[in-house]
Amino acid sequence: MTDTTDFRTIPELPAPSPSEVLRQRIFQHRGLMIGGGILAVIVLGALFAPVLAPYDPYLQDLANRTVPPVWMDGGSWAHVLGTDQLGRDYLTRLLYGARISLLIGLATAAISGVIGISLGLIAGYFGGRVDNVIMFLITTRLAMPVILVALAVVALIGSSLTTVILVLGFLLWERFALVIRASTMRLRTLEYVDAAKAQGAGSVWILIRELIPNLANSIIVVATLEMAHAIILEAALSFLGLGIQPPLPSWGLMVSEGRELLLFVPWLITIPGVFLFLLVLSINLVGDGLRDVTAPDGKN
Amino acid sequence: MMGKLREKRPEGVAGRRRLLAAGAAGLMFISSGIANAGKSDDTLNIAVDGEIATLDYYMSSGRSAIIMSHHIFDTLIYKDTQSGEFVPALAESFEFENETTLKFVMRDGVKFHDGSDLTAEDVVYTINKVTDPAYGAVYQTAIKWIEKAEQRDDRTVIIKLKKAYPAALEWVAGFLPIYPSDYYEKAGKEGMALAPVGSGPYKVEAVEAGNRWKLKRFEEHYQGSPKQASIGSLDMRVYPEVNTQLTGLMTGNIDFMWKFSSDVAERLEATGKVRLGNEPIMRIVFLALDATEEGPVKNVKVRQAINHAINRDAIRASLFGGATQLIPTACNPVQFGCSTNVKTYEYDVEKAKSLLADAGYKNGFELDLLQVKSGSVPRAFAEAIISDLAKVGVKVNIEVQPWAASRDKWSGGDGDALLMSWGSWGIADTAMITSYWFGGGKINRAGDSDVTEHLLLADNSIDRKERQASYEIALQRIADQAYWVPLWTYSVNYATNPDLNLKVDSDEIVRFFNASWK
Repeated sequence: MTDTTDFRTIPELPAPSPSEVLRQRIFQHRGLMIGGGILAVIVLGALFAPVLAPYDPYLQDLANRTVPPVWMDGGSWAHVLGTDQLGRDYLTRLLYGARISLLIGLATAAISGVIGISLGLIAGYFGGRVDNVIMFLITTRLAMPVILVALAVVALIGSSLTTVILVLGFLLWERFALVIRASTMRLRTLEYVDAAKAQGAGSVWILIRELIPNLANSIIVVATLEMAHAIILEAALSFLGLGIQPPLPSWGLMVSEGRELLLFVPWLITIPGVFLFLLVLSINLVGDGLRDVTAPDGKN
Repeated sequence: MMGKLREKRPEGVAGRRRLLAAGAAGLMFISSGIANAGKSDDTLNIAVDGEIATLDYYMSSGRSAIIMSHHIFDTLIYKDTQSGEFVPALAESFEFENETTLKFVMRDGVKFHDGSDLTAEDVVYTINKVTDPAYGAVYQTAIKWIEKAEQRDDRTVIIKLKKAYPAALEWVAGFLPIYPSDYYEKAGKEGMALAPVGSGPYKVEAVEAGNRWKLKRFEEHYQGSPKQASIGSLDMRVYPEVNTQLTGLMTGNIDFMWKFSSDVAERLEATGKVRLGNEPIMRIVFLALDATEEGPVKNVKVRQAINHAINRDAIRASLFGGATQLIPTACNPVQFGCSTNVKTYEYDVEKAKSLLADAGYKNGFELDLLQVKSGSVPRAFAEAIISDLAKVGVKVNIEVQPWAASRDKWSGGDGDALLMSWGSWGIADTAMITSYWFGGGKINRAGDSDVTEHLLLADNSIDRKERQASYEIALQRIADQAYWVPLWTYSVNYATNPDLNLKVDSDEIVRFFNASWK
């Protein structure tokens, strides 16, 4: 028996384009798909809250307080997730609460990202005394416990949505700075940076046009981590009464409001708690997934 | 190989023994931290909801510290909670010699916990000591009416008043405990803070500063005392979180807890494991409005609109229930001089909107609300008020702070409104609330000299009819000008071990010396 296959007759397959490779990696990454799915549902719920929510999030109905969710005894389809201690629809408040959590996560990540990325780039690229000064700032910031400083600042100047975003934004930049600094130190020695210098590119050009695009992978991962971190911290501050103020429907505030009835009406806490968990989990899964699929070898 | 195993076995056994011993020690440590069920060891385990910073009564604040002092110390006279009459305690007799002279004849045979005799010298020493501004007593209201104390003879003490003051006996009975002069000289403030010596029905046995206080019945407590303790020991421990208290109560590790919401009370009752009580107390809940600083609330029509906008009855019935009652006036109607013959504001959203439009705030305005963090003013209640005000266009920015911080902010001119409750020190006299809030000083944000003048007249008169008339004029003016939104009286929820006989009195003092086992 001889093999008669003529290899010359097999047509050469075209190499997949980078976008096809990326799409393939995305669809094959289970964590990214699950996280993305959960996150998409929450984002869509938040965006379309006015359409999806059956009630006004602030509408009280004192005659229908702590109505249980539909799957429990005494529950009804009129209030699928039940009502809180003031008779407000829990599903409605969860949907509107998602807006607050996402807004805080995104805004905080944006503020802290701008600060941290700028400092990290400058420290990593220029090194020397500049690096020493920025490292001093980073270590000073690391020496301060975030929650304690946030509590003190919010207690001092009063709490509001804007205050919470600004306080967290100005406290959560150090991870951006550390990661970007380390990556920049590695990248600045590579050939393409030398090539840009040889072509007469200035430092600002190199930082913005050469380094940042190559740091996108790290930035995305840190941004998702900080977004999740900010959401958790907001919930903690609101739980302690120093975050979002009533009657805004923050998930942390909802947990706090249900705290006194923890033993008797546990779903008042578990429902917002589960949603908080799912949101943070999904953001982390998406961050990890994006890191994996955008890494050169497909897996970091 | 085998040899090695054999050699290791005894080590392993020893290791397990060490582990078991460590585990047993751990269990012993844990069990020593958990209070035992009360009746079996004659110990009443009490959940304290706030830290007691010092046991030096005159330097402490907060309800828990006041309650503690009623057990460690004694006063010259005692107010009978049933009859409301003042009866002899450390003093076997007392009388007003004239409007400004109170005379006490001391009882013989009273001992302090350290075995020393309680004498007239101790009384004079204590009163003159704590009324000295250098001492820095926290509750100045309780002592500022005293000029000085004098000893007339071995058994007679005179308290000179600065001027006629009808509430003097109330303060002497509830807020003027007697210290041992010798011990205080030796131990000082620090000594009294950690290891106080009094003559009350319980003596301090052990203190874990800021966390736990064990009191033991004082067996040499004097005969004829109105405070005769039945239970052998009190174990008071801080449990700042209500669910921890509830768990302790239902598992038998706590015998008494209080000040939880009606929502919790309803559900706790359904368990059938505890005895529940609900008692009306002197405390009332109110929303004070600022009429001194520039802004919308300075306008009387805006203040009246706020009064009309809050659905007080619906909120009270839903969130408080129990024995709470709506009040139309700036005091508790059971207090002497508290007139309810005042202007009232029914719930009427349209009227509120119309008043706001008349005042030039048709589109509403923003109101900065200070809320005192307190079990009697739960967050849900504040949210209900915020929601009602939103219906008439008033957007509320709320700031929740503990009492001390809220008081300082309010007195400093911050906030347009203050939401809180006031217990009047448990004293049934309008002077203890209306005069405190409208009688002058920075905390008075009404800034109405007419009101202040009538209150001062009432406070310093011993003619009951004159006092009543003056209080009524002041309260009517307060209502007309809508300086407050009076909300409701407060009734306190409490729960006990089913084997315990105990009730909370209307002055918000829990007298554990009156408790007994069934």
